[in-house]
Amino acid sequence: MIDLFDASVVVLILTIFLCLYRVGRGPGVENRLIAVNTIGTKTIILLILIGLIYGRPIFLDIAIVYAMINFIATIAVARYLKEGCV
Amino acid sequence: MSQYIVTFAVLIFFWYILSGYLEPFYIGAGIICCAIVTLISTDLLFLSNETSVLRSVGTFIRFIGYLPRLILAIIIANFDVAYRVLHPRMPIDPGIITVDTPFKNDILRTAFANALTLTPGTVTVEVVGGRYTVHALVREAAEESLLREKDMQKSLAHVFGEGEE
Amino acid sequence: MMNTLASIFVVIGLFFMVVGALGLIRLPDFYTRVHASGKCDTMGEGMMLLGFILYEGTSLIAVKMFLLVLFIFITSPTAVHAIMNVAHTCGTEPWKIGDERR
Repeated sequence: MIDLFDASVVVLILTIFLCLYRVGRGPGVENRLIAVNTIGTKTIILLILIGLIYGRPIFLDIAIVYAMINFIATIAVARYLKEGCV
Repeated sequence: MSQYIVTFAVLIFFWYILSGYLEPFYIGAGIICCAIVTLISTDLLFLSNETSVLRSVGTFIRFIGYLPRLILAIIIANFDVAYRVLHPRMPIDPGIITVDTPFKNDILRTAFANALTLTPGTVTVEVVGGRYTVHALVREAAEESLLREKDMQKSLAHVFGEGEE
Repeated sequence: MMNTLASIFVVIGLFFMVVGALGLIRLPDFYTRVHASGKCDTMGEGMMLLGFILYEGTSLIAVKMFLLVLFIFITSPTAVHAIMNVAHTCGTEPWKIGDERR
């Protein structure tokens, strides 16, 4: 089972690089924003996987906080773009 | 009064799950913190004073009964998107369509927008009043499925206790 | 037995995560990319967390993961909708068949 987790970590990091391509190239702010949001969701899973592999459940708390910050950051940037202020 | 009790119960439940200790010191600290937060922010959790706790619980139970259909729709939607992304020629025909609904309740509108985003081929773009602007991955199929989803609208309205028409 | 089921869920979730990232690269414009990212990522994340819950068994960690699943299924469509709304307000035109890729 731990082997599967290791493999998933590698695959997830590769997909994060795929998303980074869109962050670097994507025309306009919206494309970059959606790509960063996607990277955030993948990072949550990565944190949980690290916690499971090394047997340290504290990483789960970090993942929960990261999920909340990811959501709030996306909403804040979207609101800034729409209204011109936060 | 019952609103304060419900808020406090929810907060102390979260406190226990996030800390995981049952010793008197931690529980005591939790009770003090939750009491302060309850006093400050109960009116954020319950928007109006008329919302009765019993009705909220009824809504919650009916929503759980509605969940299996939503999950089935989500799974179908995902396989649909995966097929269209992985197909070498990408059979997509995107377009924007509008849907009119008679919903008045804000929570109901939010729930329907999220349901539209997660179900096959559609993402909600804008909500003005009861009118939804929807971006569809395949326009004809989405129009068809939205006609069929009148059914889904009705069941969602039933969940949140709002009469149709 | 439980471990087999957990690995199946994890592999399905991983598949959807990869499809979401591929869609972000392959699809022709912003609105269609949102379809791939918003749907496949939410679903993939939910599936992988479900696999972890099955692997973990009944404990406080599993309850925390379940709360995380609930949180993600509420917030992810909301965030996607916010970004979508910005693009629509700024006047991004949707892609039609025959247009060039953007």
